[in-house]
Amino acid sequence: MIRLFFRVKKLAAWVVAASMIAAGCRQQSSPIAPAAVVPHHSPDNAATANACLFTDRAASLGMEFTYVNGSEANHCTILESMGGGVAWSDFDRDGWLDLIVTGGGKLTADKSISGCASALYRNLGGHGFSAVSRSAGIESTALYSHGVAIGDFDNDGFLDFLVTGYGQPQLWQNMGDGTFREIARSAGIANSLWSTSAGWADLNGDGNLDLYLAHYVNWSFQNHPFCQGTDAGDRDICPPQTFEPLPHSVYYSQGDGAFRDSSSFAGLRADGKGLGVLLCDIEPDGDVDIYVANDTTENFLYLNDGEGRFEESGVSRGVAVDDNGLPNGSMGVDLCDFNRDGKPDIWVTNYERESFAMYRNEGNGQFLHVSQRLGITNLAGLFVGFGTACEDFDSDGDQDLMIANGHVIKFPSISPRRQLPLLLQYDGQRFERAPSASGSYFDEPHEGRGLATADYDSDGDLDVAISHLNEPLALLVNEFHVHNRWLSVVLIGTRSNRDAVGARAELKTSAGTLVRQVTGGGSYLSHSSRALNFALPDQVQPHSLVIHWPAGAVQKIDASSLSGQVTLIEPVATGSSSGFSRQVPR
Amino acid sequence: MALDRRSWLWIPGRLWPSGRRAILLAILAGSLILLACLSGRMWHWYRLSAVDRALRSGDWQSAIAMLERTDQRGQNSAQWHYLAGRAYRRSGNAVLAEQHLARAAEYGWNGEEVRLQQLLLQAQGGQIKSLEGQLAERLQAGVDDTSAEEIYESMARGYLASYHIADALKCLKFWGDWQPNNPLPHLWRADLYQRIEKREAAMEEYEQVLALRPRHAEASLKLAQLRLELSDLTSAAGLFQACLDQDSENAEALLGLAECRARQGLGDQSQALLYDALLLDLTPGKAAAALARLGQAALEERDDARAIYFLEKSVALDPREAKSHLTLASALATVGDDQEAQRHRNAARELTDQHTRLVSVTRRIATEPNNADLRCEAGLILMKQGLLPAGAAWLKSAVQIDPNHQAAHRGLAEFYTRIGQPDQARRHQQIAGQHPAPPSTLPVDEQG
Repeated sequence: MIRLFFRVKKLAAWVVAASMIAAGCRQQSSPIAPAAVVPHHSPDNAATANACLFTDRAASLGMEFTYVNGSEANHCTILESMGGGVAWSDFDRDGWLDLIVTGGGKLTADKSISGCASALYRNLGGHGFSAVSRSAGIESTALYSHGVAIGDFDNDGFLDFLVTGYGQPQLWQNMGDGTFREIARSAGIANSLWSTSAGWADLNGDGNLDLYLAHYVNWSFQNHPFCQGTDAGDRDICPPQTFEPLPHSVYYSQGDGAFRDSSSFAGLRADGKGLGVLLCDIEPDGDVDIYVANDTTENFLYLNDGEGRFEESGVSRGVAVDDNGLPNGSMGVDLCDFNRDGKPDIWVTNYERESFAMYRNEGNGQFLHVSQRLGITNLAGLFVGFGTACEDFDSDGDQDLMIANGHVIKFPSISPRRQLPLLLQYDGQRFERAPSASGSYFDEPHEGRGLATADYDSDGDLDVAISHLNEPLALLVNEFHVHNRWLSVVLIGTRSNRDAVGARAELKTSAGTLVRQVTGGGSYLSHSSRALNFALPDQVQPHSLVIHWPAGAVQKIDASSLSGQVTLIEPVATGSSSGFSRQVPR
Repeated sequence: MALDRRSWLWIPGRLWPSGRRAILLAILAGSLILLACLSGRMWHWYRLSAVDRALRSGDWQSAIAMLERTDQRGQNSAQWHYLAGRAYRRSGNAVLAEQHLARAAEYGWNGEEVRLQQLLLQAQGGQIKSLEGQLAERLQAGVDDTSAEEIYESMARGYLASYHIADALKCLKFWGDWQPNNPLPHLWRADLYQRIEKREAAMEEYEQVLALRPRHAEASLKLAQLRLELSDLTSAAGLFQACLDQDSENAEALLGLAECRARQGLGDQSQALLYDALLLDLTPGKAAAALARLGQAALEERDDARAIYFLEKSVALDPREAKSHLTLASALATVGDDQEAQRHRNAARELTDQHTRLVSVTRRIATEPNNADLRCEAGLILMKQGLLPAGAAWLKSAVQIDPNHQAAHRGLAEFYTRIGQPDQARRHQQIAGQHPAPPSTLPVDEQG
């Protein structure tokens, strides 16, 4: 009895002391975000009751393409585990989003490495796609390719793209006539290090797009040790810990279509095994910061001083490691505002037995790993996550998470090589896995890699392209058929960079404010459409749309009558509210 | 003095005080005294037999509990010390085992049996490679089943302790083949699979244990922890609950169930369980874990002051937990205490670096069991983290492989200095001084 008394007393001491401190200091703690501004829709409601309604229509829409990795040569190289990317962009400026897919490459018995051509699919008015790689002139096999990053680096209004891979990356300049020419070396991007993800953004504030290029590890056939599989004698792909990291690169535009390597000037670290890159205004202070998802080493957060010099602050800001203090095998990344507090959160996909990471922005420069609280740790512990997107897929007003999964080694012991993709829906408290229809894409395992989103058919909801290893590309057509009001905003910079990377849009509605940002890079080896997408539940009325342009202008527009696709051009004079270019009503 | 008839000392008057009757009475009293003495001995014999039975069935915890309940007189017997030596050896408490076996020998217990126990103690302490021949000979020569089981168990423990994974698996296979219904080989195999991160295989072994002994607490707990690691929360929670049904004060089960509830989004239930756990007499490590979880929950709820309170307590109790340092750093940075936040970040980083290095080293030891440098490095890392006995065990194993290993001897000298055994410390320091350091076999970038 006495023992019990002391135990109760001991507990009471804990509780009372904690409560007193909490009560005394509550004023000093961060205010709780107004999470209730827009009612969160539970997955049980009508909008999401139909769950994961995506149908893979790639083949029927004319896209039959497979990324190949050369695994048939049986060398078990780490190169084979990387996979490829996908990118959406309106290359021909016909108003419909086209798709580019990287092709990978082949390895031969005598250890030579060659590339497979990337594919460009022209969107035929939302009803199908036509392969135009040959006529576009991009059928190069010079590069064993991985990623693709879109950017109008020469500010001519025609979107160009960079392809990364094992060797010299390819910079394809859009000639505006349906053709492209490769100009990487002549443009000053001479770099033979193994590159993965890349992103375009104006990093030094001169109005031109600069390039961040993530590099991986120092693998080569000359540095290709034997790594044991599960059973004796089985050779498996070596883990990234076997190799040394390669330093990443940043190229600053000189304004004339040429670039210079500014990695030292920018203050980049010399390490990191980069796989995912996200360029956006994290703080947000008007300049573009860089977040890099590294494989088995700490993730980087480079904070921009406004002039293109960076301070790496991942650890001090709480976004470098997981909640155990350990660096993860990070792959994909996206900007998110899952709790609709207007502060950009960072979402990262990781290796199995590590949680996918949601770093919640605490609003004071600090981020907190909240995956466990959100139910993500629980859901994602057995997946190896790659391409990802934080978007409102079910058009219920809050953002969901989609992840393409698949293992990287030949003989995994915990989870299989082919893994189910995930769609996680947010119910206001936690993310829940959306059930999938039997036989649907989400019900079948894949070796997923790159993932990019776009409303390719302009029907107001987001569709998804996913690249796989040695398996045909998937085009997941969104069939939630939620007839809510929607708004898809495309921004065109004038004083800012033309792609408006770093611009922030705030849609003020009757139920609060929704914030989106134009980002560079994102996902894994891939690039989603630059349009900022808002879905508004029936009872929610939009009031105004405020655009914070990277060059400093703030543009406010009456949004009460806006819907469908809207293109906004940055006003030349600060404070102007004009700038409509086009509005496509639904 | 006349006695009342109702007195408990009343004796019929006719029996008192004639001479013959006095003799009879004395015989009766003597018999009673003899019976009392014999019954004490019989009771002692009965208790020790029960201890022996518990030990034979592998339940050394019960054996130790019974031994500790024996009265002082009983504790002075050779048999008691012998049984205590066996029980403590099997429970892994080498120091007490050694003391009791020495006392058993001193009190005259069978010398051969004591020697076998001492041999097993050395083997399971890590000297297995130098003793495995002797133990195998004993098995081949034919020993009784109990001794054979103890030999297998010690060999397996020895191989595990010294990270001779392949040998351990072989030993456990022989043992399991010989005694298919004995849960212990499965339990050890599960432990081994966990060490080499074969979780599925480990879970299968624990399930085998539970098939043989459905209420086996350790197997239930370990299986629950593995299921939790794999995010199989429903199953993990069920197993933790089963552990708590058997022992409501099982702290590990309480903490495990709290973790399950937190991950299931049942934060209130989780916190209630953590408070329940804090009512128990927890080890500092477990109390720190409970407080860290409460701190994490408070931080996620943006209650920074409460978070800092719990996390500072947690870090004070267990400064080796990197996660607590890191969470505390986040909380401190949130309230603007950047200097303290940085201090805890640095501590967390140092600990995670050590952990990463330790994992890498122990993985390499699994494939290079005779690499004394690796063993020494593992030992020094553990010593640095304040885990002295575990560190010393690795250092001793390094010295067994390379008796002149300078760094290991220096580490052992430090160990004995820190535990207050200056003679031993001096001995190792002398050996370390006599032999200059050989060139390390570790790559330069891995010598951290």
